[in-house]
Amino acid sequence: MALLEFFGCAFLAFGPPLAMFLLTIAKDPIRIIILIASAFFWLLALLMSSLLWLVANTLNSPIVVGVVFSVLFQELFRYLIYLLLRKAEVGLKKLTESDTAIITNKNILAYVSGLGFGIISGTFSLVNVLADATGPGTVGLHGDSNLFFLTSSLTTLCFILLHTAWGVLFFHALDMKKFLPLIWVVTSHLLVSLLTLMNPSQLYLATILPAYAVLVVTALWAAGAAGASFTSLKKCLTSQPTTVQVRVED
Amino acid sequence: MAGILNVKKVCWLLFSALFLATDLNGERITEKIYQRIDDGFSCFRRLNGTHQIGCSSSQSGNVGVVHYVGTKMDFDWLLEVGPDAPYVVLLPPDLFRRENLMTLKNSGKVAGIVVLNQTDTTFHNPSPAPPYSNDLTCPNKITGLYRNDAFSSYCDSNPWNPAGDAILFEDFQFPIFFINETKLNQSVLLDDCYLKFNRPIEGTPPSYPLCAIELKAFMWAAVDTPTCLRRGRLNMLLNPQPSEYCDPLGNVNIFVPVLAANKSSGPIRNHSVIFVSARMDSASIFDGLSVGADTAITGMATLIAIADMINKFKFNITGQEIENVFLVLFNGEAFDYIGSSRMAYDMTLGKFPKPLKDEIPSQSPLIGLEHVKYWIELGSLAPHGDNKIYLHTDPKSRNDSRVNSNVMDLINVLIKNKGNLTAEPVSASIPLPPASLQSFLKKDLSIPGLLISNHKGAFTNQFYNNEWDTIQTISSSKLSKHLAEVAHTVSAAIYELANPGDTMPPNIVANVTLLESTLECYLVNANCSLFSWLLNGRNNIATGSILPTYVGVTHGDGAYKALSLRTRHLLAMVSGDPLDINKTACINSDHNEIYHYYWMGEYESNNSSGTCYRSTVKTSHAVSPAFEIEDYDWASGEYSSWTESRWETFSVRIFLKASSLQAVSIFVFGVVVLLLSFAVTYWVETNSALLFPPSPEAVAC
Repeated sequence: MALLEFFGCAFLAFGPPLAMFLLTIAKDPIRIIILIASAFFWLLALLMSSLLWLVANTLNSPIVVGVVFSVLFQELFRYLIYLLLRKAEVGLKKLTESDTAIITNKNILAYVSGLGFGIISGTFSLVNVLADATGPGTVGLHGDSNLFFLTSSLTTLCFILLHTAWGVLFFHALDMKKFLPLIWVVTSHLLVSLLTLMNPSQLYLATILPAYAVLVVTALWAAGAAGASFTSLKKCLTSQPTTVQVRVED
Repeated sequence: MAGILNVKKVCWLLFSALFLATDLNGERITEKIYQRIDDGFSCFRRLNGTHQIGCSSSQSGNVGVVHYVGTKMDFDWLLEVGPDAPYVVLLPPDLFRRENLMTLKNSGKVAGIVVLNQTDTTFHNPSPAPPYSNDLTCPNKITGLYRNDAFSSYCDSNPWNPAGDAILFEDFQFPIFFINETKLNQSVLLDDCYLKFNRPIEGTPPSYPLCAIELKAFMWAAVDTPTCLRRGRLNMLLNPQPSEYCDPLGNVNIFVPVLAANKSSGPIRNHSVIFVSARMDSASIFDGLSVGADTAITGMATLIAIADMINKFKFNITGQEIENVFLVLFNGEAFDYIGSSRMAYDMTLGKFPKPLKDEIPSQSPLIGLEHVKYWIELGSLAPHGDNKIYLHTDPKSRNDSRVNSNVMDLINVLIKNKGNLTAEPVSASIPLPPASLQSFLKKDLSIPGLLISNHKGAFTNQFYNNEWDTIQTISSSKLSKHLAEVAHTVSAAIYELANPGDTMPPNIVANVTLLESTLECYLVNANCSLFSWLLNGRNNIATGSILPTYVGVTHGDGAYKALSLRTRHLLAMVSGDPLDINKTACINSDHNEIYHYYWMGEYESNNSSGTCYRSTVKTSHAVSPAFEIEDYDWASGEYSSWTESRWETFSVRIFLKASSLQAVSIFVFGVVVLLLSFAVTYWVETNSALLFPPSPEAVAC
């Protein structure tokens, strides 16, 4: 029975990123490289956070300090990967032969690096939990909620998608020199991360509902930044997807 | 260049120091899910020539919903309603009985059993109502002296151990644990697990989540001893990391030839050695829970007191009648006389105490069965209400008139020296109760011997080979005094047999203090000053723990050898001669097959400087001859064929088990999300050109 719960949680948290990876990333080696590179940058952010936490822990700092600095480190490294990718653009142009979309549409790079951040952070936050979900027991003997695995997976999924949206929005803001989306990315990241501090007191809904609300806002904003609008949505709902063939021939 | 390297090094060192210095305490979710329970003793698997007995879990452990059975009603509910099988049943010790176990075993609803022993605030165990024994009604009958003759039916109609329910020899396909819990703390299993989650309210089954328990006690061995040994040999050939699956039960017999004799003075006369023996082992279902207070220790402690007394008059043994006295402690007697059958086997082959070799000058002369003049065995001796002892003899050997008259002499000399005891010879027509002597009579019916015990018919020991055979069940104000009297009687009888017409000097008395500290060390607290004194303070046993007397296996962990080691040193002390030499000289003395030198008593808290004892204490293998004989017929029942399975670990943990509805819902939810996300992503991807038209801003950039 516990194995069912394990697979349910794994599909829930990693199903959407898996679909996104297989259908949008895997076809292009350049995208895979960028995904891995951004994942590596997130890992560097994690390393910095852990070092800071090592020091902070000896000073008996509250966990809030760790969370805040971890978010700031992640955003710092998002900025660094942005700089790197913009620098590498020239080189990328030489490498790409078949797919020029990645050069012409800057949002693709942003999306790939955002997903890279999301996948790696989701993996790190959920793998240990999933490993323990294989059974035979479930959480709750000491008074914890027995929906722990479900809520952990939902939170993880939320963060993976958020990172993707944040990535698009962040890159767009830097490209356009707009500060409002930049501030939104950092503050919403801080907000959602701090919300998870309520989990020990089992206020799971109080974490998950606002987190998903932030996700909806950020995702819509990011989609808008990437050029989507009601008109474009309407257009593709009515027309036949003949464009596919065109793109492949490109 | 060097400077840069050094800076690098320093940085690296600082870095590593930072990592090492910080206490990295990762809390895993495991701690939210599971709670380990450590104070457990597990049932395990043993095999003989034809069967397997004991318990085993599956390799990953047996999991069941916890259900406490305290009354008949709980039983009925479990068997008739109980919808959440498999269950692990918590039983109070008093309900851990054959009929209940068999009901549970046959119900098919049980994945394991936990005997929950809740000690009250005084740490006084409420032991189950006697009588209670897990051995057979006729212990060791199949390898005993009477297995093929007319006397074998005697025990069927007059069982020695009527309380024996033979649970020890039952094969369970699930694990059984014995878990101690003090009521001082809140009971984890009862309060935090069963009462909180699982108790049916007025017969209505509880709702999920339920508290479940995992019992892990997987046994590698199966079927029977020959199968297991064969598989082990095969494994040794084929497996890159070979391991046996089972090991023969075995330990050491400990014996003291009171007088040191050398083979150079020629072989000893026939019928010139008195043997005094007792057993030092008992058994129970659970690993580590075998105190054997009356089963083994009363007789053993008496033998130690006798050794102490004989040591005071050993030079009065002139050799006219008696050349030597052997004091023997047998091991493994609970499992078909392992120790005694091996010693008898070695004696018939001329290998006792050690095979003679020309190149070794200091060896004891060979002792064979023909050298035995008398055999006195000490059985269970705890006084039960009166100060009576019973003298059991063997009717088969007494058919012979010489043996009969010798046995009568032995009985008479014991009765003559009985002191305050009442010594009653049991009718000559009644066969011997289970006794090591049977192994020797099986080889040679000309040995005149008897068994001294505290029972005439059935055992007065109500907990024969049971985990509850502890000090509590035999404790009485006159216990050590009674044992001292038995020791006195036997010693005086030996004195008289060695010096006919003479009586033991009145200044030789049994050492009651020695008896009391022996009983304390073996039955109450193995971290006692006597043991610490014997081992120069290196006793290393937790206060309050009691060393198990189960024979154990010859391979591997030393848990069961701890007792033999201490017993050997104790015998060396009481039977040895203190020498006036220092520690270095003592350790470097000529240890040989006659003498061994023991440095004892260098014990700080006793402020004692240590003494060197020269002692004749020896040990011999107590492993069944069946494992020595090539092509032994395992089904023959000639010798003990018991082996013990190997296992990796015993573990117990409790956790919550989610309802299957919840698990299925989460699974379905996950699959739906997975499929939906593929569909949505595919749609967005195929429409991406329309959905995300290149914005004028991006182009501008």
